[in-house]
Amino acid sequence: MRHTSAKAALLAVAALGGTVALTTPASATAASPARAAWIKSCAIDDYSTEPCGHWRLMLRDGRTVIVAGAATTRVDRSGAKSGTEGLFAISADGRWIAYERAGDHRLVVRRSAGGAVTVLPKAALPRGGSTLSADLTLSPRGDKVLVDFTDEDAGEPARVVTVATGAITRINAKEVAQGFSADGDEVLTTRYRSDNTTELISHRLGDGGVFRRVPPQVVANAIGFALAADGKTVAAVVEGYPDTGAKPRVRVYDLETGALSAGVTLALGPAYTPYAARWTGDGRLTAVVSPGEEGKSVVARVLTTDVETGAVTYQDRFILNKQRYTYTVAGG
Amino acid sequence: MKQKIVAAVAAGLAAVTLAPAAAQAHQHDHDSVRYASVKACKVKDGGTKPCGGWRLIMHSGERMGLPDAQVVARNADGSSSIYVTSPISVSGDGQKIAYLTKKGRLAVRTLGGGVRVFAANALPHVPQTGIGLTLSDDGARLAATFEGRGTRAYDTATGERLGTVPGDEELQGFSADGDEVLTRDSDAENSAELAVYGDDGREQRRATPPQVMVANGAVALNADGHTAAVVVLGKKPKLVTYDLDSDQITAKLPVKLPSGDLNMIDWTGGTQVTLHLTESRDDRPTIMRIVQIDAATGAVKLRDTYKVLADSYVFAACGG
Repeated sequence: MRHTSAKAALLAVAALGGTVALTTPASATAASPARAAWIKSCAIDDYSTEPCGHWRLMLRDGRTVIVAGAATTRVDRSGAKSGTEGLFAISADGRWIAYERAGDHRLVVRRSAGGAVTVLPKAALPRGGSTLSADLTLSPRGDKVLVDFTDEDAGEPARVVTVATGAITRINAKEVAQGFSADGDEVLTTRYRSDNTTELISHRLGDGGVFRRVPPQVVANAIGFALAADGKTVAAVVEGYPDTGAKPRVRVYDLETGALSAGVTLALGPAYTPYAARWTGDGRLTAVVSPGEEGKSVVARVLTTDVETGAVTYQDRFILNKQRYTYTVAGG
Repeated sequence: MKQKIVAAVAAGLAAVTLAPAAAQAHQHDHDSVRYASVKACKVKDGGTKPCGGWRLIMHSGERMGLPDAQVVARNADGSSSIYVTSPISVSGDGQKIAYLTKKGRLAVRTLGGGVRVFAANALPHVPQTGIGLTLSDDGARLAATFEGRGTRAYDTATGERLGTVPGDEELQGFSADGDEVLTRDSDAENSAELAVYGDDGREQRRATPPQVMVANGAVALNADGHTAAVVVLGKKPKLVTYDLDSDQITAKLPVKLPSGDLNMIDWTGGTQVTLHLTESRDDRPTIMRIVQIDAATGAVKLRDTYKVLADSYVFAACGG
């Protein structure tokens, strides 16, 4: 479902309710939330490409603004440039962005609309400041940043940084961060155990309380998770398979009781497995679908689905430029 | 039998189908086959290929040949695959060997007895490179797999086909008494299922077990037809048993195990699980250790240890 122009206008008006603190020259007059961001691909030779230029922030009012302060590529421990795109994340509400700063590669947070950046403590990154093996996630309201590590820095504990204070909570290095709960008060992780099973763990950031369980296979094998604001209800997205015609499904799992829902098949095609799923306040899920090929423009759709029926309604639609090297969506 | 293939490859060997272990194999009154092996010969490019005939290494240390057996599997067009060994299986009691004859017929030989060559139509028209063989513990049943086409179960005394199990399900092996076969399948959400079929090919049970039952290699089926077992190796080894009927983990027993990778796991008694563990050691012979776990107490007894012939391209162990 496409927005009518009247609806789009309403959205733009609603967006005006936000803070209008525009200092970047690229910004226009309204503080429109961000939908997504992308960075261009340039050919190195006949066989390979690399990210180039600046991260471009796609706003809900249709404008695209350049984030000139964000690094194009990451750095390793010695400060050497890599061929991997710089870290960049957008909060689910679209109002905040986090990225690694061009120049010194420190992690910073600012409003999508522009304004001053908050520089996160150096301890948000491993000693040496490498961003090469980091993953960056903003909490839904943009007040916390989750930094997780893979590959050569897999031994580093994930950090949760409170933007306003710079306070850091460390998560056990053996756990892999999956994202924030809907209200940002918990972080969901997975841990691979010595018996070759996957455990699902919810950490309450305030007091360190946890819910942890080795879930059924269908949850452990899920392609994505969304933790509800209660810190224990997990939506597990089961991938669709175009080869078999299996459509994506959602199962709801209770980390406290171990109860598993029978699940619903989503009203989406087998290739349309949603990602960046999160719970809305009214017990539904919002997520993004954008199936497509590299080098071609792709239509991304933001949808809401009912976990009882699998019914899908579309909230937003935008085009991902075919020149993209990579992209990230709000809440992704 | 995927994990067995992995173990064999890790040992620098190629893969073959292996037979379950036997409780009685170490108590034999007369000699039995410990394992079958084929020699590795160097090829020009630095690799190896199977050469010579199958060697049956007996419990006594003696060796026997299997001169009527095909050694190198043929491709679909009849040409030699050069590198893939023809399927072979030794029964758990070490008394029967299943293989393909040089004429491409399915055959089961009994130690000190004759050979039963199956009818020409016992096998579907598939290349030998895609056939896998598994004898039951007592050798009375044979299962043959054909790369996704139906798995066939045969009576080895008569050569008669008893039933066919869906071929898209991965054969795990026979139950301890040979009356059922256990397979692994996937459900619509890609969770692994365990299924039990009678040797007549009829499905008896199906369950989607907890993660631990499908994340630790081969699954063994008790003679009761509904109790499955896996072993967790590593720092905290455990024997885990699961009831397909109640969909419950029935025990998680800490066990002390010698080092090695899992080669085979089989129920060899009502409360006994036998493991074949292989320790591969670069240029030195692979060590096979066979342990019996008391599934009620977790007590572990080392039943047998031997070194596999160092020149083996591939080997197929029995329980002996």
